[in-house]
Parts: sequence; structure tokens; C-alpha cells
Amino acid sequence: MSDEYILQMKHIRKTFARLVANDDINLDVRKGTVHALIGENGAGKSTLMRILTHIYKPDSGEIWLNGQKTNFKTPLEAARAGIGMVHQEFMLYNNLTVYDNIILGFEEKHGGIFIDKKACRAKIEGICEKYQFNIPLDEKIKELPVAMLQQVEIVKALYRGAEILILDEPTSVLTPSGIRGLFKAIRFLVDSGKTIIFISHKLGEVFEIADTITVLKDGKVVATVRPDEIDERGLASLMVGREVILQAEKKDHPFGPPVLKVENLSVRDKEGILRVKNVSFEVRAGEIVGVAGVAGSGQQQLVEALFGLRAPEPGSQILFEGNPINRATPAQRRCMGIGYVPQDRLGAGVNGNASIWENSIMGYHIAHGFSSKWLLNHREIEAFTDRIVDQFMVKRQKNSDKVRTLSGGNIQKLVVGREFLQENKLLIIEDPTRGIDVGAIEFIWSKIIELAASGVGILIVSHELNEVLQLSDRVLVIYNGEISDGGRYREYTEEQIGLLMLGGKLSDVQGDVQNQNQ
Amino acid sequence: MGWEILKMTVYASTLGITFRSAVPLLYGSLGGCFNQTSGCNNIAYECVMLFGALFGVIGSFYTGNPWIGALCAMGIGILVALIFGMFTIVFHSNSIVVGVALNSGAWAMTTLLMVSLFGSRGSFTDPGIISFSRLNTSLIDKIPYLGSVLGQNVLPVYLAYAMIAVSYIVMFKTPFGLRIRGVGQNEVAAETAGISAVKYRMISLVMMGAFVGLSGCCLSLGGLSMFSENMTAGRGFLCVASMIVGGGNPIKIALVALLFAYSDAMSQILTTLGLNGLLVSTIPYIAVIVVLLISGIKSFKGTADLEG
Ligand SMILES: Nc1ncnc2c1ncn2[C@@H]1O[C@H](COP(=O)(O)OP(=O)(O)OP(=O)(O)O)[C@@H](O)[C@H]1O
Ligand SMILES: [Mg+2]
Repeated sequence: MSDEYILQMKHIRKTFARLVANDDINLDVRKGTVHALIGENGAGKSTLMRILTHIYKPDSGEIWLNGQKTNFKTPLEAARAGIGMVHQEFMLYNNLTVYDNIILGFEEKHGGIFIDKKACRAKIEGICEKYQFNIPLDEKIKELPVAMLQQVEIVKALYRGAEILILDEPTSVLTPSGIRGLFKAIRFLVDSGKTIIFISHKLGEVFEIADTITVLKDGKVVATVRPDEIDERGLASLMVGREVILQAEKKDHPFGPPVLKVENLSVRDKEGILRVKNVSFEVRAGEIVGVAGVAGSGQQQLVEALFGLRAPEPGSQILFEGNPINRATPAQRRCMGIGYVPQDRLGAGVNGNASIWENSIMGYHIAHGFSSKWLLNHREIEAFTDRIVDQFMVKRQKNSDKVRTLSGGNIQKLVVGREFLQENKLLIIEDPTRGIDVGAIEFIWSKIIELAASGVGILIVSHELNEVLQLSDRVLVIYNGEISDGGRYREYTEEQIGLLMLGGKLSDVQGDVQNQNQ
Repeated sequence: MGWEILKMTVYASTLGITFRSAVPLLYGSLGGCFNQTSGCNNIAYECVMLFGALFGVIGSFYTGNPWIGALCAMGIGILVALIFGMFTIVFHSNSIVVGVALNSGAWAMTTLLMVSLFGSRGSFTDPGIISFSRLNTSLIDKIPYLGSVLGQNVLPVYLAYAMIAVSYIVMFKTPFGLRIRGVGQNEVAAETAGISAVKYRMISLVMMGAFVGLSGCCLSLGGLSMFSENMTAGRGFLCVASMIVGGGNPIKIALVALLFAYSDAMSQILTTLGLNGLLVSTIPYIAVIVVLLISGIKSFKGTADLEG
């Protein structure tokens, strides 16, 4: 029987101190299929995959490949046996070229000591051609967008001879077109006999791509189903243990005076290219303004300028409650009451090697006290950290644990909680629900609406169009550094906003509306 | 006077001194750049170099063979480097603290050894210390100007320049160099590729020890045949500075080292003009500051930068 499975994990158990991350997990994966692994944040998905690739050693349990029990000692042996993984947080070397990244550790040699550039390159090009990837081999990693990095990671795994390819939340960093590209690649890989293990929080995607779905909850397998046996709702309630309706409930309330006013803002990026072009808009107290746009349209530079991480061009005006803040540092802006949830949670949101409590007050230690004049007030810090952990359901063991040991989604919850629980007047939020499970998305959305109702001005910059449309009182669309009006809540349809995001004109969109009306 | 000084900048003797005094810096910085690139924050160059200088003298004095002296220097260099590695890589002590401790301890240790072995304080010279012998470079010597810059040197001088090319090839053309660069940039990623960061850091640390030790013995056996208290006088730190400014590229590192050597040569030549010796001897150190400043300006942007 067992030889129809390419991979079997039997009775896997893994604990971190007192926390049981994986508890008697059984997973059977058929060759040439896409096997999805879903579950809440901290359910143990990444841990299980790290056991499979032998980055972690299980406390007990067995891994069988092609009907034979394996006995790996190092990640290298697992990789040699054909298990490749694209990690949730990419494993790349920023200052090396794509080519160097791919071959590192698995170089073809000639003369025993030299890298055989020709052979390596031919092998990579062969893979790219066979599976239809298009990546620039001689660019440095830091120059490339995330969608490209993901392709690099996949090619890297294939180069190492992966037969089973694990993709840990591959779509959370991608735009819709990037996701389509990825799915095309996945189908291609599966058709040519590879096996994919696919981790995601987005149930729609799981239904679209998976042949089998295994649901984890609190470190245990709660179900293994085929997509035709269940629907999205059923799956969500299996995952969360209750009914989930992903629908923001907006409250009607009057807006106050503008908290943020932006006039003629232009921003250049690091290379000196103008990425934000003469943009003007305002966010009023109690208003949620959403910025929709294809990734790389200038959102990053816009937000960096608003938060003081990048100097705007001369002639630009940023006003907070009527006062110009062009030259204010991020620390000063925080003191004024501006909160910020950055997109890159590990790079800019937290210090991974610091403890959870340190990260909970990071950035606010000057702004809002926590100190009895010169010293930190540990009782208050502990209390505040516990508030974040409780309200935002951060799964953790102790407040003194390093943030790096949290699961991806739990790091995100910590950052969001830190910013939301401060008494800010303006919140700048980038991708608030990236990598977060459906149950928690529902909660974060309701929090955002609640904050707005209490008079906080909110600017959401998200790559999830649905999120922007569900939450925003007013939608702004950014395309190629220019902002156009996307209407009030529910004024335009998703398709119309989508058109604006690709550079269509409002007149075209309105034309559409009129055509439909006729 | 101004014209005199200007002419001196291209004197054959200025360049000749540069050519020779760059040698310890080249061995030190090229030998150490792999360790630096692999992500070890190693500043113990002063220490290893000083031990290398002393043990070169010891080896040569007791055997009469400068090459055995060189082997002794490399051996002690490796030993000291391994002590550094034991603390920082195995026990995870702070590498700056360990580096400072080794550097300041080395002065006292080498002086103590000199006094107890040779019974002399300050410095130790003896006809029994045999230096490397000059090569017969009659072919080079015949070339006008260049001959007096490059000719008449000991073998380790020429080997140091060959090492520039060799280091470049090792760094950029071999799996070893690639892996060293990878380990330095993303240790976890390297581990997932089956590359042990500890192993590569240790190997490169041994290289650092050997070559920095050798660089020390070039000071003591390169011409003068002597050991004196703290004779490295900051050259170890010049190696560290060259590596940092050169950013892991052996060719750039060598250029920076040559620049430091050149300013050193200029200061030596300028003293012969009767300029204030103490003032002039600050030139190499001012050069370091200027180079660091210029290389720092490139990455200075005015505002904080997430991408950087
Ligand atoms: N190295 C570690 N040390 C301590 N605890 C850890 C470590 N790695 C993971 N954990 C804990 O194990 C649990 C499972 O984490 P895991 O990363 O597997 O979750 P996940 O299912 O991938 O979640 P997410 O969807 O948020 O990425 C979490 O509570 C996490 O804090
Ligand atoms: Mg995870």
C-alpha cells in the first residue's frame, strides 16, 4: 500500500520547552500531487516542514520516502534525497547574484577546486527552460522584487534536485498576477512529476490548486480532505473551530478635521528615480483611507516619506494636524501620535533577536512613557505586553522569549498589536493581515474599524485589493507614482478599481459605469 | 620646498619603500579577508602579527634559517587565531572584547618572552638572527626607474604581490570563496544548503592566523633582523582598515593597503627633509581616516534607509 505515497510522516512530535508544536502528526503525500497544509498561526505548519527538511530534529516519529524509512542527520542529506523548501522568510544572500545564490553549496566543479561556471549555468538554464522560469541570473538579489525572489528560490530547490517541493506561504508576498504565475509554475511542476506541499492561509487559493488538504490545529491533524468533499466555510471552521464570515462590518460615523494632509508630495527612491509624483490627499480623523495599487507603484516610497524614513523632494508638504512635519524624524512623529505597521515585519517591524517585551515597547519607549523618568518600568511593560498578547492572540510561551521563535503570523500580530494599542491619532498600516489566519483577519479588521470609530485617522496601504475595498471609507489608487481617486466605500466595483490600478483613467471607468447603466 | 616635496611623491625611493612596506599589510589583509567576509568580527590582527614577528625571530635565531622562522611565525599565528576562535565561535564570547584583550595582552606577552628568552629589553638584535636573503633580480634591475622600485627584494615580497591574484581567484572563482561569502551574508541560508558556518569560519580563521603571522615575520626578518617591543605599531589595525574599506574584494583591499604603505613611505621620506618627525609620522593614520571618511560618504544618505 505504502509505496503509492512518495512521502509519509508518521507520529511526528516536536516540543519547544513546554510547548507542543507538533503532536503525533501523520501526513501522507501522493507523488505528482499538490498537498495543501493549512491551519491557524502557530498551528505548527512551518515546524512540521522544518522537521521534514531536517532543520529541526523531531522528538519522535519517522519519515518515510518512497516507502523506505529515512535516517537523515543533516539538512544536506534531506536536500540530497530530493526534499526542497522555499521558506516563509526567504533564504537568500542579498549581495550575491542570482546565479551565485542558486549554486552555493551545490557547485559543479572542474579541476577539483574551481567552479565550473559553464556547467552550472547550463544546468540552471536547462531548469529555467524546462519549467518556464525567467530570472536574470546576473542581477544581485537585493535589486529584485519579491515575486522574482520566489522564482529564484524555486529554481534553487530544483537545481538541488528537489522531487518534493515545499512552499511555505508562497502567495503572501505576491500580487494577483504573481500568484497566477506561481500557480502556472506549480501546475507545470506537478505535470512533470514533482510533488508540491503548499502552505497558505488563503482558502480560495487552496481550493484552486490543491489535490488534498490537511488541516492542522494546535499541533494536531484535525482532518485530511479532498477539495470536492468540503467548501470554504467548512474548511474555515475546521481550522478555527468556529464559523468565520470574512466580511468587515463598517460603522457609520462623522469624520473630524484632517489629521494628515499631503500636498504636492514627490519622493525619489534610493537610485534617485522619482517614484511618487506630486501627490495630494488627506486623511481625516475617524476616516479610513485605503491605497490600492500593484506592488511597486510607489507605495513603499510614499509610506516611507510619510513616516520620515525618506526625505521628500523640495516643494512637498506633509501636514499633521495642520503642522508641517517634513523634517520630523520617525521618533518625533511617534511622539506626535503617528503609528506605523511596516510591510517588512522581520526587517523593519521587529528586532528578531530581542525579546517579546522589548519588541512590544519598541519605538514607544520615548513616545508614551513606560519609563519612570530614567528607568524602564517593568511592571507596566509586562502589563502592556500581556495586553497585546491577550487581545491579539499572540501564541507565545514567555514574554522574555526571542521574537524570532514566534511563527510568522504571530510576529505580525505582535507588530499590529503594538501599534494599535497606543493612543495614536494617525495610523499608517501596510499589509496588516499578511500571513495571518482567517480568524485573526476578522479580528484585525474589526479592530481597525473600531479604532476609526474612536476618531483615529487610518491610512491602509495593502496589496490585498479586497482588504482595501472592505475597509476603506475612501479609496485612492496609486499607479506609477500618481494617485487617482477610487471613490467612496463601495462606489466602484472591484473590476473598476482593478482597471485604475493598471493605469486606466477614471473617465474610462465612469464610461463603463454609464455603459452598464444604459 | 613645495617643489621638492612634490618631486618626492614620485621618487623611486618613495615607491621602493612603498613596495616593501606594503608587504606586511598585504599578507595580513589578504590572508584575513576570508575570515572577515565569513562574518567573524576579528580585530586581533595586532596580536597575531606581533606574535608572528617574535616567533619569526625565535625560529631564525635558533635554527639559522629564516624560512623555519617563517614557519614558526605561521604556527604561532594559527595557535593565537584558534584561541580567538575557541572563545568567539565555540563559546560565543563577544569578538570585540576578545580581540581587544588579545591585542593588549600581546604587547606584554611578547615583551615578557623576549626578556626571558634573550634577556634584553626594548629590542633584540643579534647576528644570529638570519633574515631572508635578497633575490638576484638582475633582469628587473636593468629596467630604468622600475628596476630601483621593484628590484633587490626578498622572496616573500614578491610572493605577497602574487597573493593578490591568488586571493582574488579563491574568493571569486572557487566554491570555497563563494561559500565564505554566503556564510557571511546569511548564516541560516548557508546552513540549509548544508554548509556549516562554524567549519568555514574556522578554516578561514586558520588562514588568517597563518598569513598574519607571516606578515609579522616579514617585519622582523624582512631586512632589519630584529624584534622590538610593540614593533607592529598599529599595522594590524591598518590591515583591518584595508579589509573593511576593500569590502571583501582582494584587489580593492590590496589597493587600500598600498595606499597606506605609500603614505607611510611619504612620511619616512619627508622626515629626511627635516620636517617634524612626530608630525610627519601621523600621515599614515590621517590617510586611514581620510579613506574611511571617503568610503563612508558613499553610503551616507541623510535619512534613515530601509533598503540599505
Ligand atoms: N525555535 C523555536 N523555539 C521556540 N518555539 C518555537 C520555535 N519555532 C516555532 N516555535 C513555536 O511553535 C509553534 C508553531 O510554530 P510554526 O512556525 O510551526 O507555526 P505556523 O503554523 O507555521 O504558523 P504561521 O501560519 O503563523 O506561520 C509556535 O507557537 C511557535 O512560537
Ligand atoms: Mg509558518
